[in-house]
Amino acid sequence: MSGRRYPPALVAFAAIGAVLVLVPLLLTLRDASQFSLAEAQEVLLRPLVGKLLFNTLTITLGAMLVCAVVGTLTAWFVERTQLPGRRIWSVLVVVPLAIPPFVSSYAWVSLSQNLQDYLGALLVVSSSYYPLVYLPVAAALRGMDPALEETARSLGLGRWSAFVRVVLPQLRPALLGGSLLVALGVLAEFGAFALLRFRTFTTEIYAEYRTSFDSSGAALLACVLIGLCLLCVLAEHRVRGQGRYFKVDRGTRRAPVRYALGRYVVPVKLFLAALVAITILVPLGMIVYWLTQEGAAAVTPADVSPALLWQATSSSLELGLLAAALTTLLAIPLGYLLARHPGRLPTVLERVVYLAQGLPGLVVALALVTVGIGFMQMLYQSTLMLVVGYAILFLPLALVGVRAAFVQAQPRLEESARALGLSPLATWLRVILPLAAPGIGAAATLVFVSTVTELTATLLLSPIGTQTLATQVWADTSTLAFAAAAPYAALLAGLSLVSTWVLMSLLGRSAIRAPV
Amino acid sequence: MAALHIAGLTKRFGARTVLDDIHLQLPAGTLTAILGPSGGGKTTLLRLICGFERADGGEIRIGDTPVSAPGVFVPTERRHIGYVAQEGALFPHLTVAQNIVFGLPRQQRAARHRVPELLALVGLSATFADRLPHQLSGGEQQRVALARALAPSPALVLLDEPFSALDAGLRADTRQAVSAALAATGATALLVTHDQAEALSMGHQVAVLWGGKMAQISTPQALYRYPQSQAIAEFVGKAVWLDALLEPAGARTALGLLPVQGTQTAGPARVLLRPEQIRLVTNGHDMASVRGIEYLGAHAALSLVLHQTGEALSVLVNAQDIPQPGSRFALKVEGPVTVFDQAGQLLANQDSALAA
Repeated sequence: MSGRRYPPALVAFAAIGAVLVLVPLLLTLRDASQFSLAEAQEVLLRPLVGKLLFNTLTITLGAMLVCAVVGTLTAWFVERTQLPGRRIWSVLVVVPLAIPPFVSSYAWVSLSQNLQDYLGALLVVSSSYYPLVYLPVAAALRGMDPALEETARSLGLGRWSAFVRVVLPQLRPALLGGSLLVALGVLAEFGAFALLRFRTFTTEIYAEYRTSFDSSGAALLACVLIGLCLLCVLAEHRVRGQGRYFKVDRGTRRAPVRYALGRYVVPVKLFLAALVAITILVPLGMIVYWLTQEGAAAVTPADVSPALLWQATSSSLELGLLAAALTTLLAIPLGYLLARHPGRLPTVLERVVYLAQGLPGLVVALALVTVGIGFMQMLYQSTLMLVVGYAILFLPLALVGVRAAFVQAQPRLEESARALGLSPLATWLRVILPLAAPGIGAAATLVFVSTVTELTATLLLSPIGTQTLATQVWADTSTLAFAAAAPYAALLAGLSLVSTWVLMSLLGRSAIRAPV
Repeated sequence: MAALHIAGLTKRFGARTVLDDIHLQLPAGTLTAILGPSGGGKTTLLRLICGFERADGGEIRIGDTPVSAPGVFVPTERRHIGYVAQEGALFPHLTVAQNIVFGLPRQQRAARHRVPELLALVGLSATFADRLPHQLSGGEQQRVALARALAPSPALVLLDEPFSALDAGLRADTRQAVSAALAATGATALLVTHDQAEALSMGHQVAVLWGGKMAQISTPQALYRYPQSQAIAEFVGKAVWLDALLEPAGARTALGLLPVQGTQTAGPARVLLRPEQIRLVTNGHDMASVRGIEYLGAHAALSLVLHQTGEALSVLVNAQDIPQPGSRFALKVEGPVTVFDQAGQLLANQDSALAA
């Protein structure tokens, strides 16, 4: 494949995103390498680091386990049983994705200050992230040939052994892939753990940076965190490869058999109701509760100024739109290159971009702070740098959607347009963009939601005096001014839910169907 | 002894009756093909026998055991059947050998019980054992699916359009391999298909399911020669229809007086000829001229028009005997013809020779 020619301009534009992703990774490594080996050992072999590693690993594994069990159970109930009201349940179980963990931890902390430490953290992150398992597992259950299960039954297996020996192995790629996404989310989580006073690598890196403004100590810890995250990215990549490997497209199928729940219908409904109560009702309910309270009712009294509320909302919207625009623009050349000129070079660029999945917002933000202080003073704490930070973080999300959009706009349509006499530009404007527009729009929306609900990079990189909804929720909750945080949290949750709804309708029903 | 008894079987989906009072018996050790157009209820019948769906009425007995009857429903896994799904449904996470031993007890699974023997039975070499399903062609997948279904030695094997996803060449080979394997094990088999050639070539008995009703159960030969209705006649093969007047000596048609089996009451009727029964003859008494020629490789189908009545008919000739368009011929009919009433229903007493 060495003789392969790619359009040079396209490759150049496509490479920008990949280069951007490499910047924070390389800078963090450079900062960490300023330590000598002995110094690094001294820093890393502290008992504190051991405790952090223990906390981080136990919360990650715990959340993976809880999400895998809850996500698979709900997916099976919704897809494979005659559960009444399946449609409604299938929407309710993905809603938690739109409620960022630091918002739900705000709700739980304001409900009871006892909900802290490991169990509180496990509750909050699991309830935010279990849809990451639910979605791919539900899609796998839906896509599974019902004849497999029927054949197993005809060979003498009961329901339960057919599930264990046939269904579960088919679900493995979806289950593992979803769990690894959960792990990535938990490893990168900062806001929820800080609010719940649960110490992990992210909270410690932040504390270290805030107390000393010394980026190299933080960088060393960040390297450990990046290592853990990249392991998950690698594993996820392998699992996804397996999933494809097994998939044999077989055209239309019968709908799978749905089992009657019989006497289990009440327990199953109770389980789902409890799940919805924990993951949706409590977070949203607490926000509504605090909205109705006077500022003085909270532990720390504080009032909300309408001016600040307006300012925070408009900055959130502005940053979200800017990040969506920049990220999508960066994703388009690479997405097009991948769809039309697949080969080694585009694949390398793609993999580099996906490395960003393993870069927690905190790490990217700290690296950009280093860039700002060290190389480009005028960019430090500028809106541009913050938006670039978002672009690095969310480029993988955008790339998935944009690439899929271009793959759908098949090359033979492009060729037909050219044969009908359209110039390349006219073909782009009249054929490719209209076909790819919903997918690109969905990608942009996804980046928008992610930006608006992003906390960590925003805290570290936002220009002085700029407050967003997320940083306001954070600031007020940190000072226990729960009533003051409520309007911001309400707007944030509202914005996120609406954008998620837009996203789902842009992708059609396939949004709920396709694995994230 | 019959391996499968079905009596009065009825199945409704909502208000639609998909199967209406079905009766069927499968003699042990034979293959019965269920033939019918799509939507005729074939697959539903199979799924009821498998226990994937519940019947609304009637009885299914496998051997002597009722598995579905009012108040009785034996779940699939306790029916001891072999089932081959439309596209094989091999478990994609297991190798060929693991697929084959899937339904056996744990020790036999560990010992890969009878894997080489079963592979040989379906005409595959032992080297297939460690491959994964996606490394097999469609026909190989179907053979493995059959081996897997036969592994627990079921008394009854059910095949759901197992060849429909295969291309023509592969289909013939796979069909033969499956027939041979089923015959070698002596299993009783039920094959669902919408392909008449498949039903006629594989079935010892063919049951025609038409609009949810069992329209005809007979041998392949009897089905082809004496279909119960005009619609079935056309479904199982090319048909030529002529108006006729029944006489004691036979059926008087534009092609002359044609012999008929059995005794018929005199009167108007419709006559069924198969294209291969008609021969072109040059004897000076031209009866028809060639309108069109459809070249089929080994054969050609000629469209003829009868001079006397203007009736159109189709004739099959060997490829080397294709005449020029417009040529005129006399026609000779070989063998007895089949007669139908004017509503298109088979007249009685004709198939005694074949039924015996």
